[in-house]
Amino acid sequence: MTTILRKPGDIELIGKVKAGNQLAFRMLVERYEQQVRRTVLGMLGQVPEADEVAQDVFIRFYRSIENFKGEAKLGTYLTRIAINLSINALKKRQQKNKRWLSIFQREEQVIQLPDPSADPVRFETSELINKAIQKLEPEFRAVVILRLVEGYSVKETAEMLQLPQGTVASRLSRAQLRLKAMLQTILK
Amino acid sequence: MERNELSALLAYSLDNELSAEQQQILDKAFAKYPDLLKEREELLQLRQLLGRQRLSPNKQFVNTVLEGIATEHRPTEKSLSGSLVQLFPKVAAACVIVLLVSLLNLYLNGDGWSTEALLGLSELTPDDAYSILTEE
Repeated sequence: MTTILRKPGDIELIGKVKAGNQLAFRMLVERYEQQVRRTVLGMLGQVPEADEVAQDVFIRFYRSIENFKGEAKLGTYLTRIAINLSINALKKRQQKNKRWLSIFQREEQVIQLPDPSADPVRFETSELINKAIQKLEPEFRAVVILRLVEGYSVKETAEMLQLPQGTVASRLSRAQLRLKAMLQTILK
Repeated sequence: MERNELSALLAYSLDNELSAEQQQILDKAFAKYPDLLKEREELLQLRQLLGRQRLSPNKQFVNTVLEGIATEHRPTEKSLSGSLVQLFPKVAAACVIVLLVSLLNLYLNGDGWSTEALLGLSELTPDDAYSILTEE
């Protein structure tokens, strides 16, 4: 006779965490690690601080877990925290390094690359895409990450960013065209 | 509609339902601008690539989160040195106040702030000096 182990749902695990069950919290972190890291790495790029920010998302969630009532899905809730902390980190980065171009004055450029076959490891598509995403302003980056990387609908993206759907749609449209222009060498 | 406006409408159409009028404009545009179809293919390809972004794993991620939480809940150990370090500013401030009051007292007593007054020598007599020096 086989026993089917039921995977506990988020609400059940959160209840256990509130009761002091550390293992339940570990399970939640493992469940949403990829989603949160992908969001933060998408916003901040492949930098060492990105994983620190991602870890901070879960720590902040733990601190305020009593306030989580379950109105939003946990994934959505954590992603919202991830976006907010990422934007804070971007602002700190800008203040720290005043030599960088203003985050609102990024110049677009085609991502230059020599023949990819010459150094296929370095010029992996994923890296090129990450570089292109980093060239977008944070407000465009956020909609691209949520809609196109994480797969949220336009409506869900708008709710998470607390923006009108029309604004999200407009930013998405412009961001896609800019990414296409930057990545034209790898799009066939 | 301008060509760049058509590109924007095309990108918009991939995420949003177009009105009948907008859809008509786009359908006519595909017929008029064959490269618009190619553009659509490129946008779809881009979206596929974005959706397939993968992360390099971080095996320590979960443990680091749990350690961060454990650190927050750990009670801070109180040590003598820690207490002294915390008290130091208050003690230093108290000493400065005592010094200032003493100097003010000296000044107000008419002795001024000469070296002799500060060292307490102004009231000493030669007999006092002999007594101090010969004390065992």
